[in-house]
Amino acid sequence: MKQKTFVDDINRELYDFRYEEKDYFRVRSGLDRAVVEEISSEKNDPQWMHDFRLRSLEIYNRMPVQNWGPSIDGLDMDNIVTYVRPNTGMSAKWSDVPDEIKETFEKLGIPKAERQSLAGVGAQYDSELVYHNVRKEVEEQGVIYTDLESALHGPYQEMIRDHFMKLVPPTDHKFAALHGAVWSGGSFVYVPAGVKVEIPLQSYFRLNAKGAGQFEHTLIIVDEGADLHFIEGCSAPKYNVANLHAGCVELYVRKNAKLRYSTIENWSKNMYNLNTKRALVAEGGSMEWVSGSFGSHVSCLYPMTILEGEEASMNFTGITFAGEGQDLDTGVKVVHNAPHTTSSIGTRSISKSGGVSTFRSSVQITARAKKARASVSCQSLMLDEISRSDTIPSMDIRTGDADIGHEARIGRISDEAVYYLRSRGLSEEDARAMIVTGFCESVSRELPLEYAVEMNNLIRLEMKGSIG
Amino acid sequence: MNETLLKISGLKADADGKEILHGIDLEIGPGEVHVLMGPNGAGKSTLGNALMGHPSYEITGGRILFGGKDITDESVEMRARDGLFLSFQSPVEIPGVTVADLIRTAAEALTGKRIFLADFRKRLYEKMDFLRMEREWAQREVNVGFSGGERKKAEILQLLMLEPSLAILDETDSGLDVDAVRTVSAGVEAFCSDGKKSLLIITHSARILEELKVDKTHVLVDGKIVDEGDAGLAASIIQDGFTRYEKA
Amino acid sequence: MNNTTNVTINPLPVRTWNRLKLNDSSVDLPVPGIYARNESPVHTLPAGMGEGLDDYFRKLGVRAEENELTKETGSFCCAIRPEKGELAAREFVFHVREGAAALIRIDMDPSGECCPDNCHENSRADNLGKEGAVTAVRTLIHLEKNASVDLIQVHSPGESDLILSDTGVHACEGAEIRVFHVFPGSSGDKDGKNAKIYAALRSDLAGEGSSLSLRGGYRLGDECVLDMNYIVNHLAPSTKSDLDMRGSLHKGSRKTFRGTIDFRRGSGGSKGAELEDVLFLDDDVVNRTIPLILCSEEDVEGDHGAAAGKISPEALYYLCSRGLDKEEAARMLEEGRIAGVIRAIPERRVREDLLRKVFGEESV
Repeated sequence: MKQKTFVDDINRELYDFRYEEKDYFRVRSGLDRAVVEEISSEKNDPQWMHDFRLRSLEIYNRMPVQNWGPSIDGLDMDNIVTYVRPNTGMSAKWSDVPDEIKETFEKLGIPKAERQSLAGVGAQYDSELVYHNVRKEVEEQGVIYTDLESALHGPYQEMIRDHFMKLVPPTDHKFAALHGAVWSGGSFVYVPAGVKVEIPLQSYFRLNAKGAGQFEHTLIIVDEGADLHFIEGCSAPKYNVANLHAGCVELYVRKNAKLRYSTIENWSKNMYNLNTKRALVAEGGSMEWVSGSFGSHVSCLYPMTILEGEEASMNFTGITFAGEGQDLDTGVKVVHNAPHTTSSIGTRSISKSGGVSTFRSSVQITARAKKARASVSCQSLMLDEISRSDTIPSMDIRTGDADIGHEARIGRISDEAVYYLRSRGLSEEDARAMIVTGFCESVSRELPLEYAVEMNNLIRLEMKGSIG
Repeated sequence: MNETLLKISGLKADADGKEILHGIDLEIGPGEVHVLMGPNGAGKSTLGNALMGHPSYEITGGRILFGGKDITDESVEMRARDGLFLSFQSPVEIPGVTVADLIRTAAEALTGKRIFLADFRKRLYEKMDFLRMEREWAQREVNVGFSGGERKKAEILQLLMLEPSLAILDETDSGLDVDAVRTVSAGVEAFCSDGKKSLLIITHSARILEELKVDKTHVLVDGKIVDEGDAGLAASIIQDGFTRYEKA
Repeated sequence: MNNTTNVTINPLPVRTWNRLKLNDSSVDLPVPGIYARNESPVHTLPAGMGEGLDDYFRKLGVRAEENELTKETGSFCCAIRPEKGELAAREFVFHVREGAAALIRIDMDPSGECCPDNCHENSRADNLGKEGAVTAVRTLIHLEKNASVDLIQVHSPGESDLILSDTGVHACEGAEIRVFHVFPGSSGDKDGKNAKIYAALRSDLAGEGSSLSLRGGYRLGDECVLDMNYIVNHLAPSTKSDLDMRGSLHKGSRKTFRGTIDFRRGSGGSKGAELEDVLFLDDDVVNRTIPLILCSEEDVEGDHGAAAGKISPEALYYLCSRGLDKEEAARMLEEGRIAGVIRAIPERRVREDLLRKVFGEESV
């Protein structure tokens, strides 16, 4: 038998902190019509949104839970409190934010990021946007970056109404319907035609209260010829009670526009992360996904791209790291529905300490997509013999005038590589960490520096252990 | 009928939108052995492939006449059936198709006539023995797992079996060991031994020329023919290289 | 008088999005009034089509035909040829004894001609009132220690025929099986349209060092369906698997390939590889592929590759430069896929017989 490294569990200290709850407003546990009405009235929903929530609730109650993928039996909807709101109003300046909440974000490094001239920071804390600051230069370009709830009453309400949950309708799956009924918080971004946003916009999410769910909704529209990079990164503390994240991200990339959507998901290890992300790309548009999935107890995450216009393109780079107690079912979906469209998918996954990592993908090429080209490459690394890694890719091609390539590989850390690094002075542990970091480099090099650093730190923490 | 077998006039060719050949004039008569030399990047392979009709190369000017016929716009397979052959520098793999199948099907396509298995097999093994190729190679998939030298031999086998009137050999002797060069040379020699077949040998080392009687040498530099001469020119270039053609 | 029953077959070992409709396939099968009177239970060696076919065979009362293959009696050959409107359902069980080397050849070609030696009788059913012939064959092979088997299965339906070919393999220590799946399009009818083939194989590599290699080649004619489910379970250390499936699709054809390599805990030192290559010869095709790798063991190597597209321009250019026109080049590449599988059969007589049968002439 080949040599093995026994690795300790991840050091979560950095993220496992919580605060005592203080007079926060809570709705009744469980999910019925009265709860949804309460949420709607609290938010001052316009009539159409009120009706939409109730219709979604009906759909939610009708739909069964999926019969494939990881088990979500540990999730008891009756015990999920869907809406918790901290007792501060929206704040434009960092200095006005309550200390307790500020400390949480400081530990996560938001002020530092602010200093490094990111365009704007929308930080979500327990279902509400607490802090929101849009940089002047971005404003001047005409870019709208605001919380979604207040935008429902603003000048962009018609635009939002035309787009909200059209890409991911409540009928899509049970947790999309749930989202439609109880969604709360999230961002709305509109980039006008021809505008290139030089600095990435970013948004943090935060979950604190015991048993609360996160249902934020992100809606981004990049108009013709515009260019945007949006970063989503998140973290949450650990609890005994299951936490649920059923967010929704809808991205519209118009003609010849470009959107890059980067995420590091680092939810704590009792979270159920059932997020839905979807992009619609018009003629000549380009959609780039960069995704690192590290946290949560159970994850179902399959960013989907629909290439609707001629020459639309999509590129996906992702990494998933499943450690002890984790069942991360992640992947990507793409639909080619126009000629000369291209997609390229590259994913890596790592399984360790009994973690389960599943890569699940779907490439669909319709009869309309003549001369489409698609390529998929997924690599999996097994770090021990108690973990699991499954690869479930699928391709459905309905035109003979297309070109498709797919490859997948699974294996262990190469002994020769470890030997080589040791012959250059590294310890076995360091050698393995270096190899795994190198394995993840395809994603880290696509991220802004501070994110890449956070990601490499996460990897190093996960890999730390002793040789046995 | 025209005396000249191949006549290229003012040929210009683009690859990826960039002009590689800037107006080539070249004539080859029947039974003649010509050599095309030039430094790397001169456009030698481009010329060979443009003559064969490679779809990636676009002819933007000039004409190619073969056996008196204008083939500038003709399809690849028609040029082959007219009697043109190109031995590729790096022949591609064709999984699932055996060497024997390919040659037999090609031979039938060229002559338009059915070829009887027994006759074909006899002739094939004759040529294979001559080229010192093991007979079981006939059943191997074309170029799959072949080394560079093995691929070249397979090309020459096709040459001997298909008997074109003009064969363009693109760097056929590169990457071969001494024995293989000797064998390939013998094959090429056998091909034109009847005095009626023509050869255009593209090379920059020309070990293959040692056994052949070269009628004319053409030097291609940066997409243009900069010099022409007889066998002596080839010999002197092999000795001195292309420095004399470099811009001062 | 005659009923049909809807059967779910070819299930994926791990389900995925239902919308893709790839988790399994369903097919209508005839249930004639009386088929066979036998009541004996269906054999328990698992095969690739799943419970759906178990139930169907039980309904029909198909009797398992047991065969022992030893060092002395090492080959078995059978052709199953129902006529139009007939159903032929057979279940073969092979016990390949320790150290034996055996050859098993099963031809499912309703319109074909005789195959040499040992041609066994068909089972027949009454006229089903259907257009095409229905063939359902299950082949179960148990390989003892160090046994070795070459399994050749030829599937050649004529117009509107339906073939179900289900195989199950259990391999003990050191056992080795080489499977050749040939789907040449129809051999008898000139126009084998609307034919449907469901092919499945499940192999449990249960003994240390056991191995499976599968080579398949197909040509799907107009409006034909080929639906496959290949599963290899690596259960023991140092096992090896190798799946190579290549084919071509013509107008209106529909192909589904499910290929699973499963490295279970305890299969350290094992290797599995899967390769699929599809050639499109028409725009109007449906090509679905779902190559799974499941893994719970660290010390393994698994990889799969799938490619689909039209003839590569380089290959086309090369063949045209040898005088073939586009159609001839396409046909040569197509046939090459199937010929490649046949040529890999070690037994010369079988190889030559099949080449003759499929391509109609002797090859060099």
